[in-house]
Amino acid sequence: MSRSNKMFGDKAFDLLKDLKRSSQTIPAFDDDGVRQVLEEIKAIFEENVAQASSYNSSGDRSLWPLLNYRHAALQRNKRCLLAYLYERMQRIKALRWEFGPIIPGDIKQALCEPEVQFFNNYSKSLAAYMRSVGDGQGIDLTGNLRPPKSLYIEVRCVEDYGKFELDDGEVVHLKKNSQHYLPRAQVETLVRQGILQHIA
Amino acid sequence: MFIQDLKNDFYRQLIGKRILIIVNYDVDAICASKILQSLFKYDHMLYTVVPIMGLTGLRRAYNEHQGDVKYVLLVNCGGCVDIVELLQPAEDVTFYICDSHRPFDVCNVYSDRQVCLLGDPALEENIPAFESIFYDSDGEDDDDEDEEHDGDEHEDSGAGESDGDADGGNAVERRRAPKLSRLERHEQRIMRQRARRQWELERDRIMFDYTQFSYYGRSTALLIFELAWKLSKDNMDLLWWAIVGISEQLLLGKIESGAYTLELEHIQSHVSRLTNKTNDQNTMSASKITFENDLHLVLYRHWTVTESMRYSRYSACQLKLWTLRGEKRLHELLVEMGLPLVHARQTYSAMDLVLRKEFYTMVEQLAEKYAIPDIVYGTFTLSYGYRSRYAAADYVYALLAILQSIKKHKTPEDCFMEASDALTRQHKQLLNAGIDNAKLLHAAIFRQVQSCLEAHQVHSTGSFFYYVLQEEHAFFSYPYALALLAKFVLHGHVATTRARQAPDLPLIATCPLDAAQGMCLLVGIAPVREDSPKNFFGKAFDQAAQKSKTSLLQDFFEPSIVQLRQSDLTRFLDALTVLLT
Amino acid sequence: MSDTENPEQVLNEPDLSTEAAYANGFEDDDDEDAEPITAQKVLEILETAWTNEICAPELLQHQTDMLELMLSQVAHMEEQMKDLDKNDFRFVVHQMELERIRYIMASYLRCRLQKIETYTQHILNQEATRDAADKRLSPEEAKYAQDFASHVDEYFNKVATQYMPNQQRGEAEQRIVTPNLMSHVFLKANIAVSGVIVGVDDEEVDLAPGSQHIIPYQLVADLIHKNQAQLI
Repeated sequence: MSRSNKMFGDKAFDLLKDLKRSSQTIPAFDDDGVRQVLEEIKAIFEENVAQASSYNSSGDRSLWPLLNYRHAALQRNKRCLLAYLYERMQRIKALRWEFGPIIPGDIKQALCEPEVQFFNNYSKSLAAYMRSVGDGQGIDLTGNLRPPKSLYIEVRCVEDYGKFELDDGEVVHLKKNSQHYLPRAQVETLVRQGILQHIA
Repeated sequence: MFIQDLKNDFYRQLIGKRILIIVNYDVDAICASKILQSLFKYDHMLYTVVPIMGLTGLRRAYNEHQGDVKYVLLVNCGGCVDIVELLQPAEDVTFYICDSHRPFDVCNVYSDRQVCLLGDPALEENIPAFESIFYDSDGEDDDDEDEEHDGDEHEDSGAGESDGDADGGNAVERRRAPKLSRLERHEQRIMRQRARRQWELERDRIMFDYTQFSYYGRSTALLIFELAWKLSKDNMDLLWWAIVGISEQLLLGKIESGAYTLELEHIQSHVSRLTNKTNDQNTMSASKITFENDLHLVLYRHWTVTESMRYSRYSACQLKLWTLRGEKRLHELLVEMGLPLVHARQTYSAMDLVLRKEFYTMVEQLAEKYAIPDIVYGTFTLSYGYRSRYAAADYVYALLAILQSIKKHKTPEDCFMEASDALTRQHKQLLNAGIDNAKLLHAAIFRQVQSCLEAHQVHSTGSFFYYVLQEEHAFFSYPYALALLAKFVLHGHVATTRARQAPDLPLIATCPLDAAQGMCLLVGIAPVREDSPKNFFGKAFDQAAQKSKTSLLQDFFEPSIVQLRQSDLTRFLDALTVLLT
Repeated sequence: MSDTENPEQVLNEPDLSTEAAYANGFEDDDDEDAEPITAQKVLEILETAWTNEICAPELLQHQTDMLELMLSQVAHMEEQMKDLDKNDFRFVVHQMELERIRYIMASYLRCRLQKIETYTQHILNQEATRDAADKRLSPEEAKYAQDFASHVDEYFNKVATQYMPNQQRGEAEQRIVTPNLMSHVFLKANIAVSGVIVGVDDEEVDLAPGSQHIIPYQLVADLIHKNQAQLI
């Protein structure tokens, strides 16, 4: 109750708003914000416990609305916080589909330790699942993301990539500003990673 | 060696292979590569397209892909250099060259397998016979001479085969040697040396004749389009690209007007064939190519009539539009045409419909009177949708402007890709942006010409004119724009000067490239009276550089465009003066 | 068309292993196992399963057997096609067909995974109540779901819940996400079905074969399960 001009739950709500507004794929983990919300939860809880015991001992009905109010604030805080984490989790999951089992360096900095761990766990179990599908034959589910229109596509190289070997042993040198005609299935990942650009 | 049957000896051979396409930085090449790409796409052939600028680019591009590809296709580059010598390729790499630059390097012409030139040898002029330039090395003598011989060959044309032959010759020599006495051997050697020297002189002369002029062959885009036609894979888009390719040749003076007219007939038959093939000719909005007589006025469909007339080289030079009198004459012309100034000064597309419809005939009727008869030429226009109508020349100017729009954050390769995108109809906005850029470019050229002529900056050495731009320029530090400017300047100068021999003199223009490195760009323009695209500056520059001991960077595939050190410029021009008088 | 290794035939010819596998996997199916199944049929079943899965709000019965059949079929076809000339037109067509099949399979499994991830706890709870014979998750999927649930819990716990006061940690059941089974779906009847109850007021509708309807999912879930209707 020290911050008179702030309402309960403001901080938690801010977390969500920031996440929603952020233009980056995944903004930096708001360590400070999360801690503050947790502290607020704790503070509310402790006040409530204190008053609940006094309520229990005194049976003062006038405390009842206050207790209820605090409880609702606490629930809300918790809900916002978990929503924040859940949304981040969704985006982390999307990373796995987009970039494969390794997180790009710049994004990794935005994640906190448990998140990285979650990513690795997720990545591992996804990989394990993909391997086990179809009687041990395995399917790469991260490929074939879009319905195929043609076997080959025309791509333009946006970044230097270096040598890239195709299934049939041909080696293609992907260099910035060169244009190629390649099997779609094999370059799909590179297109998704933004190294190649698909030109219609 | 030449490949005449593109369908069987070139295309069929490539099916199912992976191809590296190296494309030079010009409009014709871009068009040709677009056509090739669509052909390869139809047949699901993997390819890689790499745009390059100049010899260094070619070498770099090849080295990067070396080892991965067995088939390399060079579009508008590499025909005039000994490609084997330049790239040192592995045995199993085959080069296909479709290049409109001439003359072809003789080593490419006589390569037996590795280098294939696409085209008809019957169309090539006086290629020296094999015997007259490659020495039959049975007469090889000793090692000293071998080396000397090799050295010579390298200087002139580079020697692909001489090394191998020389070894064989030595083996023969060693077997025969013991039978002759020492004296006889000596005599024989002298005799042989003499014959040899004579032969070498003769060879040098032949080679000089052959390489003296640089000129251009058929448009590569057209060549490739005909391949598409023979494969029955041609369509309107491909044809249009071919037309753009040949129009570039016309506008940049790479083709004689006679040859152009002949090609027009071929193209016209393609146009009517393809138009009849498509069923939707009744719909207004269908894409359609039509042949028509048009005016040599820059982008007039997308500009205002006055501006277009002023900024077009031909009309500006004939009417001397940079002078006050010229301006008056232009107004006279407009009056006589019955084109109100209000209309002439607003965008063509906003002009009165009646005036627009009559514009061509109005100009044509008065062309004789105002001494601009050559303003009329046959060309093609592409129309699709209800609004888009482009002349082939519009495309060429737009693409040239895009190719020139190199900036700090925009590499030449980006420009190349943009230009090749602009060719497709889906990217109309790129084309329109290119057209706007082209307007700026032409306006800038005109202003430069005006100030140059007013300040009498064109100087004559008696055998050629020269014009030196002192400062780096946003436009003219690039080869195409500088060449366009130089041409305009030369024509303008010839139109104003009283000197009788002026139309027979060529012009050299130079512009600093990069202040930091102190390099400058130099272009040579053939005389006004010369209709053929022959240009002797390539060879002349080479010789002048040797004489004046300046180092010349002849990196572009146009031999008449070179780079050299700013500080060497005076020395170089002096040497050139001496050489040409 | 003289070569014997024609993939067209490969696709249409039922091979023995396919039949055997089919017989094993679908013994309890009543309408189809009289005749041998073709690769074409497998593909059809998969396609239906795929559209159903995409349209249905909840997770449907898994199709592991069909999937495995198709996978081996695809591998088989690929093997056959190695001998074909790469520039043969048929090669291109078959390659394209394979790509499509692969896409369908991948998309199908992805769709299931996505549902599993969203409704993890709900699905796990439901699975626990089902008999071994009508489990909706394949063993692999079940494992994946378990793993995923524990990863999520671990993550939440590490970042937040462990710092929360004791009483607030539980209530995991509050976090269960359940699919909205009453969402409307488009469906097409495969056979005539009479007396389908739609709406709250026990209104009944007869579905003619091939007829199309928009109905809340829950009311027709049964039909989908019995393959009497399919979602579109």
